[in-house]
Amino acid sequence: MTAPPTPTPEERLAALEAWFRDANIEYDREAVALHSTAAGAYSVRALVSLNEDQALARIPKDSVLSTKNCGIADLLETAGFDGVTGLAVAVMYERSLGPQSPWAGYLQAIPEYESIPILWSDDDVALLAGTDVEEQTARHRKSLSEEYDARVVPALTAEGLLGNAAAGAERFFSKTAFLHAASLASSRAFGVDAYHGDAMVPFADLFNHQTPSRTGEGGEHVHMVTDPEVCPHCGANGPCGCDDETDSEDHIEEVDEFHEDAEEVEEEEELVDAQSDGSGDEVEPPELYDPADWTIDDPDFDPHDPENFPETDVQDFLEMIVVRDCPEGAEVFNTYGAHGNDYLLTQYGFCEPRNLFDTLGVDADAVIAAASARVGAEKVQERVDFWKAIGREIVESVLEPEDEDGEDSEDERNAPRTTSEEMDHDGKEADGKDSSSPNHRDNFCFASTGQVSEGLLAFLHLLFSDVSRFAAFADNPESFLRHISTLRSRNWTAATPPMSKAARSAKRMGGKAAAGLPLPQSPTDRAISATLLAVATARGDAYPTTLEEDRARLKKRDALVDGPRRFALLLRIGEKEIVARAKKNYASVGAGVAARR
Amino acid sequence: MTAPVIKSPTSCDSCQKPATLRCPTCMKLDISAGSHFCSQDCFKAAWAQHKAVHKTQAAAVANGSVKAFNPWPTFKYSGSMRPVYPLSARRTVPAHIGRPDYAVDGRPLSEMRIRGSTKIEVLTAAEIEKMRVTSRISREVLNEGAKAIKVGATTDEIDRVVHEACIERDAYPSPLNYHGFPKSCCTSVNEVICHGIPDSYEIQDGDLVNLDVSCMYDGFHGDLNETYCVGNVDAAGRKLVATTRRCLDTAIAAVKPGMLYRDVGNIVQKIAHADGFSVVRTYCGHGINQYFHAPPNVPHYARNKAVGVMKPGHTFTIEPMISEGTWHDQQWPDGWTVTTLDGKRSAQFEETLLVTETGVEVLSKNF
Repeated sequence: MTAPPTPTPEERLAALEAWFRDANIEYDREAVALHSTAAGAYSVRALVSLNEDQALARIPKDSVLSTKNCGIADLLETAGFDGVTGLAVAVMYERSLGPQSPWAGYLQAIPEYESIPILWSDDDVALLAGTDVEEQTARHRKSLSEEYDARVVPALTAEGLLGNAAAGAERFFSKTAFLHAASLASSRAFGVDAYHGDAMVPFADLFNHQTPSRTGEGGEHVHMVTDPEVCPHCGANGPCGCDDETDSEDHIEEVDEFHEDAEEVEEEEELVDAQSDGSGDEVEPPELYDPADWTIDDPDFDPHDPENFPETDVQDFLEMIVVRDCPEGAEVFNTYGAHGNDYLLTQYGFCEPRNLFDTLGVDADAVIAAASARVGAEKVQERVDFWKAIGREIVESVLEPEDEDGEDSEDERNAPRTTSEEMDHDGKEADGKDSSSPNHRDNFCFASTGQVSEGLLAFLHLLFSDVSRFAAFADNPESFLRHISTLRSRNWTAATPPMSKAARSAKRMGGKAAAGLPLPQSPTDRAISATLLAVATARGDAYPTTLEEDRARLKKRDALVDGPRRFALLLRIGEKEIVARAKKNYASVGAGVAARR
Repeated sequence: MTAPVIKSPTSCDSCQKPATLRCPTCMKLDISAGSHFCSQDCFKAAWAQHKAVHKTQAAAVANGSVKAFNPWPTFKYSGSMRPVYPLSARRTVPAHIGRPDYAVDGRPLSEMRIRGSTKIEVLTAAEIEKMRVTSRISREVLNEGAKAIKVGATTDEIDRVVHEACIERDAYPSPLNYHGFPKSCCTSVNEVICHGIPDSYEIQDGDLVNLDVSCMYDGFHGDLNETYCVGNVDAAGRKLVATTRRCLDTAIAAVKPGMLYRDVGNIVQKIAHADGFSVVRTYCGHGINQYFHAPPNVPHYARNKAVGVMKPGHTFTIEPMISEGTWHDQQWPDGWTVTTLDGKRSAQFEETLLVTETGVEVLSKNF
């Protein structure tokens, strides 16, 4: 007996196209063509030149795969699985059904997993030594592994999906299967709406990513557009049965109380009719009858002509809309957001050369150690305690005023997201960042320019504040807030320069031009620069290879193909270039140059 | 001398401005004078006074002096069925019979609290026994009601029989005042798919009459329906009814632990399509227990995305609505009655089911 042949990429794509038709996913076959570039890898190409606002595809929301519409959504709800875990379990479950799954044609077409670092071999992970991603990968792997053992296994066992060898489905729910599904949930999911949350969106996930320019424009040609404001209970976009209930829980409570009062009265006289058969006891009038609601707008509409009926009852769609013209023959890109390589690699499993959104994380402990070496551990510790107790919160209130709804705060290092109407490959938690751990609470970093983040500058100013000033902060935290606000308005220099008109306007422009205007340095500024130089130097020295070695290595044959080797090099080179720029900045210029996010 | 103010028939009762909206209660009572309003606010302002007119007319209805009428003459009905108003006076339930929360004001508050949840209840042995009892009662009541279905009988007469059969068994007729439903059962004739309100329509020879009965007894609901051929039904109508029954029976036969609720629709649609019929998509089977309608949602069309795996102790209904023509439906302005959009006939059968360790028990089965 021979095993059935593995389908070729072309066969998988053909099956996917057939599934699109069944699922009522429509795309403009005269405008774009789908290509299978390798097993599970796709690209979308423009067959004609595409113009802004052109709709390329219409995807019924019913066809997405989410924690709300998978076959075991009730189990996910009971177990409280959401986010990546929920979607990963949903994907595992639907995969376990094979051809019986309503998403079979979709699931056979996407890769078994996305090669994100948590799934790399140990040898490949070793290539990340010294990078931000090395530590993130270890943490990410550990948290998913623990999640699987502690929560997923018990829930699946209770459901008979695990620990029930007779069902023969165990391999679909192994830890490896979970990590594989999690990589898909992490790399391919889109935020759909208030009901589905993050979901696998067939067709939309065929577009590859292109990082936008610094201004956030360009890069992508298409956006996914939908109305995310649907009923969170049933997903309806428009009136639904949940309507009068969503109005107010309070109202329901009120009615309850009203009943209790009324109970004795109606006990006697059978049923009180509060609706509308004319008993005349209603307190509130019913809704008026509007004949317009009950007439067909089109007088020529013939209900007996089947042509007048839509094929499906699907009413709510996701659309792929062209947002930037794309020439004939070119690949059509989406964007997964303005992300640095560390995020791209962790979430999606790839890196880009010369990514403007790269950052280099700075470990708070390294800063504390360097500062302690200058002014003594005891003094620094006092200030660190103040920072943890209240200083950090004050700085955040200055740097991130409450005008945002806070949605993006889990990933401070990323540029703001696009509007909620136009969702990218994005809406997920940055798993690599555990905000509860004190060491990772502060997203201190250098930007790709080598400039340090404002939060870190504020921290450094606190560490190096003199005894009397710190006593004043400790005494009255308000004074710390005022100090930080002043520093920020002075572009983070402790000196009080006579502000020239040019410098002021430079500040308004975002502070970058200020680099060209050397300001008189105070002792604090010098201490900060020296500390940042020390931190950057130590960080650079900790890599096992040099920037030059990596650049040379990138030209070798095996680094030219996409894969861990190439992506690790791109990540390392990006980080090391930031180290080099940071060293240059803080060796020669004052500390008063911050990267404004 | 000043000209008398002549009230145009379409001016607001409250403010005299032109008005196109109407008091829905007046329409159902055939009150044409003084029931126009320009806005909900004007209506609200006039309500305290206005509602007195309903009382007067309700009295007229009660003594039989209001002739049969169609409350929404301008509505474009898809077939030949029409509402035949006035409805009879609301039937009462004796105080000793346990009643659901919505009996008072029409709002099923307990059901509304679980909105959005997909969790399917697993009933205890004691609860299952209660489901057996209430489903058995529902079956008895349906059979009583079915005996009343004959040429010339009104659907309201069937409602009376059903209502009284419930009372005799100390059961509450679940539809009564559920979201304000005015009667004790649903009677759906010909192109009416479901949720027909019993009224003064006289059953005709050749009609397909669906009777849907639900009872609440000891806190639990049972729910079932059947479609009856009245007199000389044509062959196509009989085939529609037979196929619909087969859709239900075949789907029931597949029920067992581990089956996905979404697969019910694949079975039903395959049979319906093979005979050239369509499957209504808007209305579905449902979980049933202490709640009249609970998770899961059980669509009858293929490739649906219903949630949940069947487990022993689940109680739910399968109730396929199968149509001769299109599956598209349309609602009457009464907010309940659902008809096919093309006016062709539709049939339905329903049973209340229990998933057992080995398969299924039809709790509402005929005897």
